[in-house]
Amino acid sequence: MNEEKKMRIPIQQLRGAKDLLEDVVTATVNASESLQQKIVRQPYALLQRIDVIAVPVRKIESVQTTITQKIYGTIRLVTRGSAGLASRLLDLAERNARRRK
Amino acid sequence: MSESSPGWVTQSISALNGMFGDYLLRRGNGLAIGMAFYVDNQPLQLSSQAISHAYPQAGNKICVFVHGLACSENIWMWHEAKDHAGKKTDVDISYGSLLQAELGYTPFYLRYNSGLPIAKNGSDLSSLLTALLANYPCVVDEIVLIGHSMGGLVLRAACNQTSAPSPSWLEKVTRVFYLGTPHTGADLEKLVHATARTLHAVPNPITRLIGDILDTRSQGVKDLRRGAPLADDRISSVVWLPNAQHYFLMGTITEDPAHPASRLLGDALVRVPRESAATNAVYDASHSRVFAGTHHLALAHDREVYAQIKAWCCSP
Repeated sequence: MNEEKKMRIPIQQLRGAKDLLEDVVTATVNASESLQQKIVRQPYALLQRIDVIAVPVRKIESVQTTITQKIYGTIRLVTRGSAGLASRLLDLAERNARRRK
Repeated sequence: MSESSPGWVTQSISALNGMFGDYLLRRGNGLAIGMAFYVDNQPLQLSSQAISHAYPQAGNKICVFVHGLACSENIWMWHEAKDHAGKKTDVDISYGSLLQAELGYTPFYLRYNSGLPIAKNGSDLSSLLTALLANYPCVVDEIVLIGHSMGGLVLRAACNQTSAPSPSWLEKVTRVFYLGTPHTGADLEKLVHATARTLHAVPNPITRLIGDILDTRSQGVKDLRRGAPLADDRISSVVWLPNAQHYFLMGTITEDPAHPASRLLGDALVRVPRESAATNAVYDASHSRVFAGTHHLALAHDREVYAQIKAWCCSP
């Protein structure tokens, strides 16, 4: 009961916080992308009913969808990269802690 | 030398578990709390040696404390200034430490993932108590259970084990205290449930997204809508442990329990229930008390509440 205690956040919990942060960012990005696509789809669907401009509208929508996917994809890639880097730093910290023991 | 998280980390993790505990467990996240009794912010190994080491004066009467949603066992602690050799010093006090000093109960504080289904936590608590008694250094004659908020529902679920044979610890339970427990469901969760359903019904992607976000709350939170924890929907009601006496302690936000604010909001989270609905026929006016001006969280660390618990523990 009286043994010396270190007040330090265990690596397991730091890893958990990192995983949770990654999950939250990814879920937010996915939800934002899906929401944006649903909202943007409505005016395009309306415009595509007009035969004269249907073809160019479809092309514009396709370009915009591609750009949007690339932007969200980049955010997801950066998130994964950052999470990977954080994992490596935590591994290093864990190895150092084990060595000190 | 042991390692433990600072208090604010423990609180934050408990809050996260309350809100998203089932998700954390499903994902194998390191923040998911495993159910255990805690001593000095460390999980207690349920071996005879570890229990004897943590509780050198373990007695034959034990009391088990079960916290509520998004809390940890720290909810039971408070500081009081004590005269010590002429100097005023702050000491940690809890219902457990007082019951131990004054009535000889050995206190066990549970920490658990309050985001899991209440029935699952109840079943896990039952297994934990069985293991505790199997490794306890002496014979246990009496068990007192004290649950705060959702903790009271977890206790009811633990006492409602339908497996045969029934766990041996059940027959030792003499008293169960429910502090601000929403036996008939929590109004706030009912409101969130209704809001989420309404938002989903509106044909708009933004309202649906908000509804989806609300729906990410844990199963533990969702279970609070109904109150009584049912592991099996075919069971129509949760039976009250017949060999124990049940006590109901509730709070109100105003000094006058009849005040409209107290009638509407109760202790800020749980309303004082009507007699019959609250207690499913085990209600006894002498086993129930409303603490005017004591809010929901304060019910877990209040001198007046303790005095009542002690008085009931001393009664036949």
